[in-house]
Amino acid sequence: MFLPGAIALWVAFFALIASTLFYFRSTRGHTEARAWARQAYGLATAGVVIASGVLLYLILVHDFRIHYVFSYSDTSLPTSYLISTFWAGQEGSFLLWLLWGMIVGLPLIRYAQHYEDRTLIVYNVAQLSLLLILLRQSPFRFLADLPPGQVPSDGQGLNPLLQNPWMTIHPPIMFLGYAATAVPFAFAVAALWERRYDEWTKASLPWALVTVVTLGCAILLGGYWAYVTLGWGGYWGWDPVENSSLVPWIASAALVHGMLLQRARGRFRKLNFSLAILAYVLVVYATFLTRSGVLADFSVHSFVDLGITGWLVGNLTGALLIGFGALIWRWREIPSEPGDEPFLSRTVFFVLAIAALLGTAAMVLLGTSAPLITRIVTKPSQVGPAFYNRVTLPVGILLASLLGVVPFLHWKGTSKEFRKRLLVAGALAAVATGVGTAVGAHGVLYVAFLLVALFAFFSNLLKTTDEVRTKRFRAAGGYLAHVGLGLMLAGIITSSAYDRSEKVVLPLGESKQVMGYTLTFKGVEKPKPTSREAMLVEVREAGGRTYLARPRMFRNEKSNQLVANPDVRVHLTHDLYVSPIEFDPGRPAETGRTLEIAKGETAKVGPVSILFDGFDMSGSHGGAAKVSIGARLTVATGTVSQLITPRLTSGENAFIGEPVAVPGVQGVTVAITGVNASAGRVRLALTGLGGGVAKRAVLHRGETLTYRNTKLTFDDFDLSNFDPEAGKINIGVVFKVTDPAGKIGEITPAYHGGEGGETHDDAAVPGLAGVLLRVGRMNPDEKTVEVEVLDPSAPGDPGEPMRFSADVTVKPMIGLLWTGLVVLLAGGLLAVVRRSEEFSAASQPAAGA
Amino acid sequence: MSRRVLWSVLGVGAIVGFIAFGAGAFKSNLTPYVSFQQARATSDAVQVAGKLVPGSDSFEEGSSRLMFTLVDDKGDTMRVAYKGLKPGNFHDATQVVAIGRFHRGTLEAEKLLVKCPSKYQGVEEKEYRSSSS
Repeated sequence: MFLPGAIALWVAFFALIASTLFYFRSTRGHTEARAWARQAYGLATAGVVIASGVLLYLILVHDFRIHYVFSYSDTSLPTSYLISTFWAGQEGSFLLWLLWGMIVGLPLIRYAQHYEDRTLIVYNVAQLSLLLILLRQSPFRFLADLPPGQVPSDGQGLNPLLQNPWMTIHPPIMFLGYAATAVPFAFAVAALWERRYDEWTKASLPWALVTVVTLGCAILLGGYWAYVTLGWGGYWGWDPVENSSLVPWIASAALVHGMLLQRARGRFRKLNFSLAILAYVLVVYATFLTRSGVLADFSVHSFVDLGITGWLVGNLTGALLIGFGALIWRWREIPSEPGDEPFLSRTVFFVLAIAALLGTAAMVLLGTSAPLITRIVTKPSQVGPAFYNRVTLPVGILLASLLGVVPFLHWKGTSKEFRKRLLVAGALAAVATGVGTAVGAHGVLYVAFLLVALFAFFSNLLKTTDEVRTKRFRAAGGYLAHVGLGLMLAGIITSSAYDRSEKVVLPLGESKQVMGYTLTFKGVEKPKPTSREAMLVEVREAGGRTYLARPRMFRNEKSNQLVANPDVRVHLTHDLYVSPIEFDPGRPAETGRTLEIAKGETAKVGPVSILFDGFDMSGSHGGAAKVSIGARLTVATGTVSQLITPRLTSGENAFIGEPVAVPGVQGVTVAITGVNASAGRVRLALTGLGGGVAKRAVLHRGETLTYRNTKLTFDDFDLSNFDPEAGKINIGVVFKVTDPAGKIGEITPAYHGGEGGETHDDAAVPGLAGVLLRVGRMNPDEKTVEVEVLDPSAPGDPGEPMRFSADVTVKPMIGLLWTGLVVLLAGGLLAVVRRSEEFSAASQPAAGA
Repeated sequence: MSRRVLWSVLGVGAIVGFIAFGAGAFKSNLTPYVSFQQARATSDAVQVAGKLVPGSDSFEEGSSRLMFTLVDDKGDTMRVAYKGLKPGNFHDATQVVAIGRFHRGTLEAEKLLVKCPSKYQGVEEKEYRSSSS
């Protein structure tokens, strides 16, 4: 255990306990204890801040003795990704959550007013539950079994998929949202405890909005990250981890609406208590699901049980007992005001929206918990995306319809402009949907969903412009958020229900047509040895414009993991999404052969044998501008043997080897590519040798292959030198050769296998200069042999071009989704500002804070 | 009073209806974990888990499918066809989970889950599926 960090956590732990006890004493009338409680809370915050600083420091200085630093970072990471290593693993992300929780608590103390003592007791207990996990599973522990005095020189590195700007900021935002859910929970329990059932909603409304904005933002970033880096083409997959941020988000959205309702109508107290407690319990439950390993078999997120399952179950039980226990305890005392509300009123619509949101949350929760539920009765099973898509579609239609009507409703009835405005919004939505169906939208439910989503968009847009026109900018936040929501829903439908996708295999340089685009694979781009390989694909659009798409496919050296990133081209009406499937490097074409020989040695290349006699230095005179070295080669082909002297001459910038024709074989040249005079070695390149495979066949015994009018008949195997037990795997194959003149001969090419790899002893075909017969794989049972005719005049192996396979998808109007989400969050942020100002104006901060 | 009753009945009806609808969807979409043998015996969607047989995977050009063979603890093997993209860490997987239906000798997978060595435990990766959502 790295002591400074561990000590800081323990200090925070005891300080939080002290703070809780002092606050408790304060509730018993000893109000002087409150100052102590605040001090203790400050100390605890300092402890957590220091612990976080220590962890960050350990990561930045690469202290690989620490298990956490070793597991998630390495020395090659830039500083930005080193910082994000902080929350790359379980322990660090719990610490981040705790850190946010402590920071959120500071303004909470200031603004909790008369609720302070009890709110902070509950809040501290929530913080303690996180702190206990960190003490149990410390980020500061050393690597186990490390020999004394030894430190690993490098760590295991950060998952390459997480090395992405979006992923560095996603977790901090997410955990701020998680931390903020504890505030309404603490307020709710404190309010029940104190029997003051109303004011707490005003104090915690800004925090509920903070949760909605931050979790929404985190979901947006996570989805966008998945879309642009993972390459399966989607942004949402209903994975347990995604769901565990979605469900608290929906519950918090329901809570916000419930609080607004209570504020305006002075009713629905029990509903809000339930919602505030539920939102927090759901966060704790989500943590249990995703961090305990219970879903290990059902999510790719590979959560392994780190031994904290018991703690997480304990936290969940604690949150349930404290929250709902307090609610049940006071249930009959909470005043409720019965009374009917007209159906066409904001009140009823809010209630319906809350019900629909809760219904959605319940279904998502049911689906995510499927493995746990089914385990009770049968084998653990899970449900796929089809389930979520099916159950959320009708609720989505209902929600969007409510959303379209509600801007023009008052709390107790309709507004003056109700009919007119709804007609306009409805007409605009109908026209837009009509355009949509004209360009391909189809399916009754999808079109209906699209219609109501657009209705919600236009209706809220009208209301927003009304508010802006009457200079009520602050009140526009909620409507603006719903403008975004409408856009978002429309984008979800168009991009997921109407996307088109096709797979394509692109050989290098060959153009292929895909959904109106012409794709040409131009090669692999790797400008620096450390760069990640990008596949260059030229895309020609229908209009004739072209661009270079760069989907990436590379192997992470640390983990040897194959990583594929798509290329996303954003257009106004759609995205073109090119996702890598497979890359086949092919085989390079055979252009020539190189060999290196020492003085006095002979090398045999195909039909040519070359003896290196020595250097010829006659061309290099002292002081001459040009230096020239020759190599005396005795070249023999068949019966011809001759001395040639290719030369290497100094040129402007480099030495140039002039190719010299090899006598006796048409078109073959030899050139020097390098010399090592002191070692007496020369490097040669032979071109035009061909040696390409002119013909390839599998022959049964007795069968004949005819090449250039010469018949080659497979006669028998020659096993005279075949003794596998002695390690001799030499198989000769006897061929009868009949030349065009009818002359008959016999040749025996051989195959050598065994330890040193396979080699071939090719036999020259009589009558055909330079033509060789090679035998390859054979099957003694079926008496077959693979033969290749090698002909110097045949072209060399042309190789195989590299090929890139990709999945090409057109995603219509997906821009609506991202734009909508951003507008939604902007509106939400406006609402946060408005509600916290409202609250501050209505109340003075507690004295002495 | 009668309006109240009407609304209450409607409300309860909507809630009951929604629960029934959700439960129905839930039941019909459940994919139980089964052995290869059980998977072959049913036409329902199931999920099977196994190790990838090294070198058994290939990309079938005509049908654009990834084909591979899984082997379970008992040595039983299952040929799997997958329409989606090959997961990036496919070859390093300690276990591959395929979700789909058995049809004419192969399991036609709609979704793959790839489990990687514990090194990246706790790291969030995405699922791979053939259709986006």
